[in-house]
Amino acid sequence: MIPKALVAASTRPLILSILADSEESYGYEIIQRVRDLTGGRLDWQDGMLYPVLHRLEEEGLLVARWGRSETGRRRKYYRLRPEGHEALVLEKEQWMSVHQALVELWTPAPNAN
Amino acid sequence: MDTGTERELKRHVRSWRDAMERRTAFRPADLDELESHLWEEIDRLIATGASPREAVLGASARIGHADVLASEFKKTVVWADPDRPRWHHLTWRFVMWKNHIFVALRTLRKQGVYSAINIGGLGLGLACAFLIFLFVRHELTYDRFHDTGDNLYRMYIEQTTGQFAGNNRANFPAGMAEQIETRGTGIAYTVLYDVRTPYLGVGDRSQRVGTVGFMSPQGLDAFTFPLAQGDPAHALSDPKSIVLSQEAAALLFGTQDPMGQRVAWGDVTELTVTGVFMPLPTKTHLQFEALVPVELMNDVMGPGAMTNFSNWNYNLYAVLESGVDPDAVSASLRPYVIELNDGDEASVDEMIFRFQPVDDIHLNPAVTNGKTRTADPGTIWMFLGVGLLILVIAGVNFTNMATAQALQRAREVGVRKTVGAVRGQLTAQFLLESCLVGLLGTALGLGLAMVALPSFATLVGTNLGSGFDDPTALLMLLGAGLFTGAVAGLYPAVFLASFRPSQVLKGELASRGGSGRIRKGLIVFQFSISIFLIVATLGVYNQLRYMRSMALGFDKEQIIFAPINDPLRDNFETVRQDVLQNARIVSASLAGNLPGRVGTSRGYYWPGQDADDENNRSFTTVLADYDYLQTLGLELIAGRDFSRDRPTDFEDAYILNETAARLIGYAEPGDAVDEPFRAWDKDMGTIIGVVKDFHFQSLHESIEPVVINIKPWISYAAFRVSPGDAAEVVDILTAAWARYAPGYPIDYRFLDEDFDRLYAKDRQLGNLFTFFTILAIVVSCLGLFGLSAFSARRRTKEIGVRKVLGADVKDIVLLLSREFTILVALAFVVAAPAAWFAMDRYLADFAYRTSVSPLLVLSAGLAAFVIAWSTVGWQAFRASRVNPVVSLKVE
Repeated sequence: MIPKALVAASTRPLILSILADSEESYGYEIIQRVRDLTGGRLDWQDGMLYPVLHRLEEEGLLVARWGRSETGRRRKYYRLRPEGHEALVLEKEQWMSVHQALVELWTPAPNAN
Repeated sequence: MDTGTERELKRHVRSWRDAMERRTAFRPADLDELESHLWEEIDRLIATGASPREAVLGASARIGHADVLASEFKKTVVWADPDRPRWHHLTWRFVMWKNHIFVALRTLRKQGVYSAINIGGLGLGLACAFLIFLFVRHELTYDRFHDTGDNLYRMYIEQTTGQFAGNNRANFPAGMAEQIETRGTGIAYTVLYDVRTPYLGVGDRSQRVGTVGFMSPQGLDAFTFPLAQGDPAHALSDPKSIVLSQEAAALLFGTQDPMGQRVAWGDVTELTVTGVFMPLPTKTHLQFEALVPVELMNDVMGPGAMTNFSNWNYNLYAVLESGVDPDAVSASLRPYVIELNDGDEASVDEMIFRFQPVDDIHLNPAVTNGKTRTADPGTIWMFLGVGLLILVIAGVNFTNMATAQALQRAREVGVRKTVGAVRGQLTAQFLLESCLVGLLGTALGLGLAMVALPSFATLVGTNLGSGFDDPTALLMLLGAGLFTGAVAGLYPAVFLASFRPSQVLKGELASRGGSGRIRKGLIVFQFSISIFLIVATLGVYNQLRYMRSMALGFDKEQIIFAPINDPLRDNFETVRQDVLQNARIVSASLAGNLPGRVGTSRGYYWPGQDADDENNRSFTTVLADYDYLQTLGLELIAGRDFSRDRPTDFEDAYILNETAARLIGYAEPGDAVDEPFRAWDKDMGTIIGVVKDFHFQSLHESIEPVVINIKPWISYAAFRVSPGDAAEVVDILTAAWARYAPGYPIDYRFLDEDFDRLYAKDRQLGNLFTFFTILAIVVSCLGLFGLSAFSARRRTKEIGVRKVLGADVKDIVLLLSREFTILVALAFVVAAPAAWFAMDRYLADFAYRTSVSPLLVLSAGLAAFVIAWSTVGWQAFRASRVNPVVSLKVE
């Protein structure tokens, strides 16, 4: 299991990335997607996603609209705004720099000899 | 999915949503979104074969626990979000207030005694204020109900020069009405009015039903007194008609229909009942039990009464045409003034016809006709002031208690602040609490006021009606109560909310005396008012007692009198001889005037009169009969009494009081005897005696010159009786009345009681002050009780320690009451001079008065001290009795 702090920290880039990947998406689908990607190891309380979505919406990174599923259920769809794309670029840089550092540390150093 | 499953799912989801809604963190839109999420998961689980119940349970477990979600969602709330619908703020507010109210109620319940004291004190104060408010409103709204409204005026004559300068008399001769109506421009019509209290006879029974008004027929258009029976347009058209109040109709005819019945006016004439009034209003200067046409005066006063120009006895009302300025009408009457003054051009500035709006009559004693009861606006404002003072005392109580309690609640404030309450919220919470107390106090006050209204009405001597029938008045009262609660709660609310958690939780505040000074100041203020009111009460009563005990110069104790009627007047000598057979009747006399009922003035001449008095000099005159001096116990100090043996003693002999004799120029009473003297309309007569000065008016007035003279103008029969059973005497007189004047029941009065009527206003003032004082003291004591209880509780541990160290009960009681003793002493210092000054002003109105003795002021202070001390002392005593083993364990 991935610890809580890391889950919390990664929520934002994950949401931005998933939304950048598709035209638009809704909460349930986003969670399914995360679950698939991490093989279920990154496990959210489903409801916790929404406050984050709302915060991103309030920051002006997302827009939301109410729509309907093919079976007629109400759904709230989110879509990335240009600002969201910019934010994602920033997130990517930050995560990548962390990632690189870790990768470097964990790659066995080539033997001097 | 089949519909049964769908329905079951919906039910489960509904209850899930209900549970979520109980958390305040979620906006409805949030819940919509979460619910849609829930449905997606449910659909998935159902598809895998789960039962509806399993599906909902699984889905809601996945979505997360309500509390956890709520705390996450709360963080995203942004208050200033402009896109959020407005009503949503309100939901939030509502939820917050709901919580506030809940906490407030819990606090009230938890602090039972304090709450009771708070609400009780406020309720008492408000009840008192409500009653005063009703009274003042009643007094301020006289004669507002007439349909002619702004066009209805009473006329009066303003005199600017001469003997009567500054006089505003609202009396007119009947003949002037028509002249004024035709000469003035803008007058629609005038109405004449005068009163009598005649005997009205039905069958063989005559009785007085009260005041009967003589009114011009058009008076029923001018004034709005609706009829229950009869036609207002014609009720007074026939000069021989009478319109009765329902009470008068019941007295005269019992349950019979009065319409068309015959009523005898004494033995003068017969009238026909042409109408019955609806219940008559109390808020009018026109108080009567029946109306008759003014033309009936032709029968009562003799023909020509309606054109008479010398009997200045009538009220004259004018209904002006719409939009006419009364001053313009006044100006249009100036030529008439000149004509009345024999062409004297200067007189237009000396005698002015004026128009007074009828709704101004009740509160304007400056314009008078000597008959209408008016109220002194000063008294009304004083009432209002006292009511306000009591309200303030109650409010102060509340502020004080709440501030004291604040220390107890400091910890609550600390904890709430620590978990994130902000100052505004706390202030709101505490303000809400005081408003709640205000509301409960208002409810209690309204209840108390309603219960007390009848006795209060008796106390102020006014019929206030049911008082609470007016919704606007009720709303105003409610507003006043809430306002008091809010104002009184403002300081403690701000004070409490300002506590800093870091200090409070460490317990530093308990020892802080920050609010102590204000609290003490408020106690001093409260007790100052109480002491002031005690002095006022004692002062008024002292003066009343003085006036009652003062020698009046006549013997009022053993005199009984009754208005007289024609058969008795004609046979009085026989009646007198008859009743004197009985040992209980000592002396009997006819009387035109009695002490307290002197209203006659006549002009007199005597040789050597000053040039100023050349025309004649007006003296108050007592119209008497033989035996008058003896019956009333007037003391003759020179000369002789009237004698039946001397024919000239009838009308031509005069007895003066000392003051009159001195004023005429006789240094010694004896010098005046046998000197010439005459009334303006008689030939020269003689002064036959001088009596010691006596008080024929209330002691508000000083003694004036009085002339006693025998005239046939008699209104009363007076009897001096020997001490003993009053009922026996009444029986004797009733029997005499029945024998000599069958059909005229006796309407007897006791002179002492009748004379006391002159002090009705003073007595009323005394009663009211007592009432207010008791209230003020009770409310103050409630507050003091609460505060001392609080103080004892706060010092429980200290008391325990002191007892362990050897202090006994006496020491502890002294310790706890010292503080309050000092405060009451301080209050005395503040109140004493103010009370002294106020009483001095009040007493200045009496010609014969007590002084405000230092003893009186001191005893008021002592009373306040004793009351305060017994309140505090009890608490202190109780606290001192607690076993230290118990008190030291108190947390």
